[in-house]
Amino acid sequence: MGGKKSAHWAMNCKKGQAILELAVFGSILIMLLGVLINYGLRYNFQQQVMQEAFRKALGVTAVRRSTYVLIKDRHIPDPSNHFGIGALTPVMSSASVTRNYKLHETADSVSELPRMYLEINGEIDYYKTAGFDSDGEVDSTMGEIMDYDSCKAECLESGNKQWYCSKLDTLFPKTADKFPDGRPMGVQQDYAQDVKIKDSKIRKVEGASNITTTDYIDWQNDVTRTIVYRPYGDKSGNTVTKESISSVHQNQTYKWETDF
Amino acid sequence: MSIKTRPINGRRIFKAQSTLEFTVALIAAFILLLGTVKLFVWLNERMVLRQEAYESTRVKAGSSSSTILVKEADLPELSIFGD
Repeated sequence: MGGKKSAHWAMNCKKGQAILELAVFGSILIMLLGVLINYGLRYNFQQQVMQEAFRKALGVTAVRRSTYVLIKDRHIPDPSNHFGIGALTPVMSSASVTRNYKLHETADSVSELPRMYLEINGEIDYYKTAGFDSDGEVDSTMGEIMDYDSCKAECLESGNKQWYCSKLDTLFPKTADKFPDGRPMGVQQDYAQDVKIKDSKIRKVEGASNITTTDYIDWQNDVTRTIVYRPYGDKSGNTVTKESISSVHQNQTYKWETDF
Repeated sequence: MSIKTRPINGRRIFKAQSTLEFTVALIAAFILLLGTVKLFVWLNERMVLRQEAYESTRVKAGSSSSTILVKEADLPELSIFGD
């Protein structure tokens, strides 16, 4: 009896099947297209950023040994959004250059110390990656950006004679979940995105001879990153956490006219 | 003009509905696919031309003290409805 009832119910409910299939497969298709577009654009942006980072590193190493870190937040349109407003994808590349005719040269002054240039969405900052030790020699553990492994190795080798050996836990604080080996210096992995869609709208005007459609797209995405470094020359073990906020926005109008 | 229907088990069935829907959906899917293919051709072209421009300015960039970048504006723009 129950079987007959359910068969009858299924026969009567076949009306929405086609529209349901369209809705399901249509969404999957649009999602797939979105994934393909995302992949293609990301690959393209990555090539651009790799080339740009190396060329910029070449440019700044004319004076001193440098590393250039380039971060760009690129907007990738989302096909499932009415206005194509998607998320920002960070694209990053770094390049380090040492000119061979300068291989034997060492820094004599603070201005000649090797640097790490950090460019985030066009804003450029730099940090020293080495400093001078007590003998006046260039030391990679004395810069504004210090490396935990290098510092630890140096401490083991020197028998904890360096100033930072007793301050490693302050310089590189450990947390069980995120940084079991100590928080690294430089740009932190975590970042926040604030998306504001301001006044995006579609205006459609139907005239006697044509239809005009105008898309107003206005959005802004603020990305907040944190950069951790040690003030140059400071031996207290303190670090500075600096916030870097950069904004990516689009404020454009697209207009189409179709004649009857 | 009404659609010709044939009664099955006493019920009238609109025979061509799913075929019609499938045809319309297929055309829409092909248009979307064509757009995606066009986009990929454009991306591929840009990547090749960018690499070419990058390689051709290698010596100049290596021997100059200023930064020489590939000019993105010289690369072709996306044209879905064009050639």
